[in-house]
Amino acid sequence: MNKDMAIIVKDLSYTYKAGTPLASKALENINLEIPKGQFVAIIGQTGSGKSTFVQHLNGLIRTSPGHIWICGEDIGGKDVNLKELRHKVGLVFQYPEHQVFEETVYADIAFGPKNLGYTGEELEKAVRQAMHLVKLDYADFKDRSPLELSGGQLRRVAIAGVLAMQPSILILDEPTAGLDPKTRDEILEQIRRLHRETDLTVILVSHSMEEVARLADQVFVFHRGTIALQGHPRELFQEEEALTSLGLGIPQVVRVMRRLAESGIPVDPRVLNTQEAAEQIIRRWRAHA
Amino acid sequence: MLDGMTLGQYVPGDSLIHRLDPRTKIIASIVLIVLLFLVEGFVGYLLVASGIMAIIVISRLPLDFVLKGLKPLRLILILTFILHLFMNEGRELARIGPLVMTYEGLIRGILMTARLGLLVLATSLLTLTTSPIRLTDGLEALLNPFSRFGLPAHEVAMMMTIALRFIPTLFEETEKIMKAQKARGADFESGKLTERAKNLVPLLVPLFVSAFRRADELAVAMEARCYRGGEGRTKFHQLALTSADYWSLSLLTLYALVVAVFF
Repeated sequence: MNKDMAIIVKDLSYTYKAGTPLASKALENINLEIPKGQFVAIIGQTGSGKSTFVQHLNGLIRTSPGHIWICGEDIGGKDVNLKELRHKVGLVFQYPEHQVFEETVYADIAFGPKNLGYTGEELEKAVRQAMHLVKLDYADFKDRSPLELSGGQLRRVAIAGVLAMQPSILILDEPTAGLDPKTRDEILEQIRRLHRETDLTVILVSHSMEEVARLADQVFVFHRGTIALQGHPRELFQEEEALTSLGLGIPQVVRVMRRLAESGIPVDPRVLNTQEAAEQIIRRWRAHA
Repeated sequence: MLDGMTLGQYVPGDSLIHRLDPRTKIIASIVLIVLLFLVEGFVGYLLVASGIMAIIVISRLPLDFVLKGLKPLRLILILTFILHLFMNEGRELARIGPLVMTYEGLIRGILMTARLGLLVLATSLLTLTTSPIRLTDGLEALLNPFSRFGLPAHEVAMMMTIALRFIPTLFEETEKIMKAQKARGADFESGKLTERAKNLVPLLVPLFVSAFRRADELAVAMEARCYRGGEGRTKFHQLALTSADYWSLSLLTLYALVVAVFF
C-alpha cells in the first residue's frame, strides 16, 4: 500500500449491537485517503458517525467489514500491535478533561508515554514538550492538582496527555466543545502551529464551519454514516444548498459574499475568512470610487 | 465489552406480554420465582422451563437474545454446578485428589444450575418487556398500600427509576473512559490480578467523579422543577387492569398451583 498516505480507508462499515434487535448502522461503505502532513476536518451532525469513524483509526473499534491502512500498514489483522498503533495515532476524545485522574498535572500527562515504556529523562522531556505545545508553563503547573485548574487549563492538560505520546497522526474529537471563545481560539491556534511546525497529520472533528474554514486542507462531510461531500473548504462552501440540506451551514462571511455575487456585484464568493472578504470589498469599492 | 449486555434491558415491542399491566407482570414474576423454589425433580423443572419458554414465544423476543442474558452469569452458573457436584455426599462417581464427585451431587448440581438460570430468565423477561417507567409505576402502585405503615413507596419507586435510568448511562460512560485511557496506552485486559486491579484506577477515578457530578446536576434539575416527593403528585400514565391481565394472571396462578402441588 501507498506509504505517502497517512490513512487509507476502504469499504468500511460498522453496525452497533450487530445481531441484536437493537442493531443500528453507524458507518456504511466509507472510502477515503489522507496524505501525510495534511490537515483534515470531519464535519457532520450529531449521530452522523464521525466519532465512530475516528475510533476505528487507532483500533479502539476493530474493522468489520472493511480495511484501514495507517502509514501503509493494515490494522485489521488480529496480530496488530495495538500499543504501537496507539502510539502512532493519538486520539483526543470529546471532553477529554473528564479522563484526567492523577494527583498532579505531571503524572497525568506522563500516563500515556509511561504506558508506552518511556522512562527517566525521555519521559520528562516528552511531558515538558507536550506542556510547552499547549502553552502550559512546566515549572508552574507540573505539581499542581488537576482539581485546582480551570476548565480551559484542564482541557490543555488532557490534550497534552495525548501529545506527550508523540503521535504522527493526531485526531481531535471536537476539542473546543464547551470552551469560551478566547480559550477556543487559543487552542485552535496551538493546533494550527503544531501542524505547521511539525510533519504531523491532523484530523479535526468539528461542528463549526468557521473552525474548519480556518484550518483544514480537506473536509469530509459525514451524513448518516456515509461521506456526503468532500473537498477543500473554499470549494466546499459553494455547495450551500447541499450543506444546508444536510443540516449544516456555511460560514457567515461566505454567505454574505455569495449574496453579493448573486445580486450582480462582481466579487469572488470563494473566501475563507473576513479578512479575504474585506479585501475584495475594499478593492471593489476603491475601483468604483 | 459491554455491548453484549442484555440483562435488564428493555426491548420495545407490541406483543401481548408487552401490553400487560406492569403490576400483572411483577406479580407473575414473583409467582414464577416462588414456583421455582417449590418444585423438585426433573419433571417439575421441565414444566417451569416450558412455561417460561411459552412466555418468551408469546413476547416475540428472539430466543437467542433472551438466552444471551445468561452470559454475564456463566461463571456463577458453572461455579454453582461444580460446588454441588463435589459437596454432596452419596454414591461416588469419580475422585480428583481429595474431591469426590457423587451421583447425588451431579443431580443436585444440574437442578440448582437450572433453578438459577430459570430465575434469571424469568426476571429478565419482566425487564425485557416492560419499559423502566412502567416498571416503576407498577412497583409504586403495588407498594402504595404499605405506605400506611410508613413505607416511602413513592421515594423507593423514584430511586429505582433513577437507578434504572442511569445504568445505561454509566455503562456508556465506563466504555467511553475506558476507550480514552486505552487511547493513552492503558491496558485493562492483561497482567496479573493485582496489576489489573491497579490498572482500574484510571477508569474508576473519572467514573466516580462523573457519577457524583451527574447526581448533583440531577438533584438541582429536579429541584428547579419543584420536585417535592410523592405527596399530592398525579400521574400522566394511569395504570388500568384489563381482562387480558385478569386472564393471564389467573391462568398463570392455576398453572403454578398445579405444578407446585403435583411435582
